[in-house]
Amino acid sequence: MTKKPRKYLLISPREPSGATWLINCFLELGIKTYRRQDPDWMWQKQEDGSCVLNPEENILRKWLPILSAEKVFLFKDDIEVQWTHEWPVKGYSSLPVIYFIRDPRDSIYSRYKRESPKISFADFLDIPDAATLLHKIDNWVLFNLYWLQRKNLKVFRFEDYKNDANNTLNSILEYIKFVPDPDKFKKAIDGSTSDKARESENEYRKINNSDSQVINRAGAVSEWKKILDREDKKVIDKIEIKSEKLLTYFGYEVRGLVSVEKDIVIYPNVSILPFFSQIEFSPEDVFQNENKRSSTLSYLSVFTKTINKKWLNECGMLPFEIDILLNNLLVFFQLIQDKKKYDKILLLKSKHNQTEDKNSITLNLKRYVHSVVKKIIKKINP
Amino acid sequence: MAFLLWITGLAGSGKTTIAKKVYSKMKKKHPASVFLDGDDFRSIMQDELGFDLKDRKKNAWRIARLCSFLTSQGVNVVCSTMSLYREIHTYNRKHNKKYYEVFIDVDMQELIKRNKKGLYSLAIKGEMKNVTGIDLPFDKPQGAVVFKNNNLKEVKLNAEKIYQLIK
Ligand SMILES: Nc1ncnc2c1ncn2[C@@H]1O[C@H](COP(=O)(O)OP(=O)(O)O)[C@@H](O)[C@H]1O
Ligand SMILES: [Mg+2]
Repeated sequence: MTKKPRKYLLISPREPSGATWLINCFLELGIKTYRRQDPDWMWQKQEDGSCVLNPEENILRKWLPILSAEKVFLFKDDIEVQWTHEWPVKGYSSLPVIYFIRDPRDSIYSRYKRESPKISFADFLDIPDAATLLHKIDNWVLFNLYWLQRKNLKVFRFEDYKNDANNTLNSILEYIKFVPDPDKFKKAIDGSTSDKARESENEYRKINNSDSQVINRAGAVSEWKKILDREDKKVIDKIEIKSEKLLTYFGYEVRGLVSVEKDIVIYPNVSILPFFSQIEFSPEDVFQNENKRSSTLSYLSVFTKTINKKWLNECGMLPFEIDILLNNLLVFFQLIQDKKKYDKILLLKSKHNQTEDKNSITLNLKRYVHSVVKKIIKKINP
Repeated sequence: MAFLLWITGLAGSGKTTIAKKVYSKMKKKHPASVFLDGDDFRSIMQDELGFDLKDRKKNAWRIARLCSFLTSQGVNVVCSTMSLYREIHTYNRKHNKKYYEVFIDVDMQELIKRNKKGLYSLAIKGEMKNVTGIDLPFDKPQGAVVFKNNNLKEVKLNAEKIYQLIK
């Protein structure tokens, strides 16, 4: 067998944080960078040692300009980076982490704009995260608090890349002990600008005109200061209040706002959410310095009261995400034995299933078949 | 009786291009035929095999075994692959009732000039390891019909000549 490459994780919250800039740079530099656990799914090996993108992953061209510029990739064989927005779930490798972060007042707002639901910013944030069932702001906060438990992790900021891309890329490469070829380094910087990303997204959309979601928006620093809408401003303040400690930790400006709502700092009793049983750290590890409060999950009840079929159509979530959300709500209400809410979600789910996107099913199926084929091959090739 | 047409050569020599031509012509006369390209095979398998000599040989064995399995079932196979190892050629000859071997022999100078992916120039600079023909050895097949340099103008004619080999 070929010598094993050294591996890193590139972690960022799922809110647009600019990590695609870094991924594009990595690919330009010949670093095999892939999503999902399996590098061989995204990058199909050719007989001569080069790789091509799996056509099933063509959608990534929207984000990564290099995928449109190049067809064939020659990767270095001694390094690999997996990127993901996942939480540090148990059994997840203990690989060193490149942690890429952006001011949540920009990134959460940017996500709202990207998904462009027909609901207000405030309502959008009240939709629980499909996987964790956390309120969106808590989700961002806890995602960070959990990952920051990791010892072998280094934080890099979107704002620093915007301010000085050369310097930021350099320090990341230093962290992963990668010495770039100077020409390639320049090409990586030039080929990964937001303009380049926008161009390739436009190209992509010309061919796939059914896909209307705009990924590369402003991509600016401190955009939140320019938000004029009064209601939206309030939400920005709420984000700041809830994430103040982290903002300070990451070196972002805080204005010392004081909460008017009571209970605005929620440290939910997360251990009752089913998702958190899979995480590698226990809530006790993470919240040892926080006031423990329990039963702060009332927002889930409020949320469950408000949703209906019309809401499902307008919330801006993808069908498969709605499916995950409803499933998790079912598990949750079963766990706390709230039969009324359980039944309501069950009814919604049966309505939702009739409209579910067939495409996402086939893709999941393909990925599943791929993993089975791999297992079989392993068996017949000891 | 089913045959194996084995079209081999270094990366960039034009195996796939020429094999496709031969296959599309042949398919009309021999409907029970498959085309197996080394790149497709790698992407079907999608496993951890890398590109050092040991893994390349392992991959070549899989291709050879699959081909002989298919011909034993009465399926003709056109296979374009590097798999340039003596034991593989010997195995093919022994395990396929009809075996045609074609070697597309392009000079390294010419391959570097064509330089499809920058593979060879990186390998020569030492920036890429495990490239057959540079830092990894290979065996030219002994009993093969050789097509020297396979210039672009000759591709059509060469495909025709290869097609004529099949009896
Ligand atoms: N006879 C030829 N002369 C010059 N270029 C060729 C020739 N045959 C193919 N090519 C080009 O060279 C590249 C490699 O050809 P390909 O058939 O994929 O080679 P292989 O399968 O042996 O790696 C392709 O871009 C192809 O268009
Ligand atoms: Mg080929």
